[in-house]
Amino acid sequence: MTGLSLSTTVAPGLTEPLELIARIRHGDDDAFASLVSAYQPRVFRWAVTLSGDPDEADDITQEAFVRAYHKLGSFRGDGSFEGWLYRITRRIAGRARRGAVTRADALAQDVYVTDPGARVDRQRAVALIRTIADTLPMRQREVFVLCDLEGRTPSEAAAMLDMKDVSVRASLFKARASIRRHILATHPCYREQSP
Amino acid sequence: MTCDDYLAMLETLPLEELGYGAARDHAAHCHDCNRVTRVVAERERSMILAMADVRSSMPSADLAYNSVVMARRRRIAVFYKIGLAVAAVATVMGIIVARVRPTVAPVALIHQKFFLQCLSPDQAAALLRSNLDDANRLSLRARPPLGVIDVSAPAVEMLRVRALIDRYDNPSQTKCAVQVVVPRR
Repeated sequence: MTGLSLSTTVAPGLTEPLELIARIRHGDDDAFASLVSAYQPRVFRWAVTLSGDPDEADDITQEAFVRAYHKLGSFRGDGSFEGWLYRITRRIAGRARRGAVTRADALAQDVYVTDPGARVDRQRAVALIRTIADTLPMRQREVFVLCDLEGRTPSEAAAMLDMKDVSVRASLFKARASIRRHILATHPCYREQSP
Repeated sequence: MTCDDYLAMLETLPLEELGYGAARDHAAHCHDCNRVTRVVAERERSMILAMADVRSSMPSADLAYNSVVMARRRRIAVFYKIGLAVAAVATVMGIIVARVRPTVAPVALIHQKFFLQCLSPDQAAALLRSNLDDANRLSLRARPPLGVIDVSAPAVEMLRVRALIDRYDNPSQTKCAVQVVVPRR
């Protein structure tokens, strides 16, 4: 894409997840706090992508970490912890989506933020999420965010999504096409050319 | 490479891949395709930056603390639910067993009327009550003016009642109207 992507590794200075998990299993709550600190931004981004609503994403993030703590004993470590956490988040978001009342205007109502700069950033981010959510079906949205916005390879995304590599690539192609068509259709220079 | 070919590539390929070979040569010479590429690149770059600005409003320490507390509560709640379920099952099973279990068949009682020759009905009653193992299963009705005692008892007990009456209400062996002293067993 543009050579720029969001960090998907554990922050420097933090212990590897498997080591943290081993400590958590021995009752070390500080290790869990470290794990949350490392993964919260990512889980929140996934939740926002999946739900399309930053406020609901906070609830999904909270629930994802509650379940992660609760089920940490069932994590065998044969796959990536990130993929395991992603699947938990996706399941919760899916349940929330099915159970929630349609919130068509939720994104239009921004949360009050006192810092004007932060407010602009948030509005921009919310507009972006809305663009992606409106433009892409769920599966393509997930693939686009994991590969093009977070910089994972299609193989890594396939492992996280429990999909075949080729299916991820196909979804990614479709997602890119939709997004780029949308970009050009909404750009002032090209709007008059679009059908 | 035509503009259509280039735009078809732009539609699906990562932008880095358009920086090589024929695609790069085409973009270098085609002003429109170059501009379209720059628009897409700028928008996608701003998407990534905007996505990075999406941050949770909850501090991670609070999130971790709340998660641990909630997870522990849920674990306890699971134990409670299991306990309640076991108690409910035990209650239901108890009710079912109590209803299904056959009731003990009542023992058939034999009724007999004894015409006393020597003992008074009260003496006979006292005699029987003190000499039978299970006096509760015995039903006595003394009718003093008539010298009669009605006895209801199970068959086994009734045999013993008859034996006692025969033994102690026999004028040839005891003196009538003399208080019977029954040996305690």
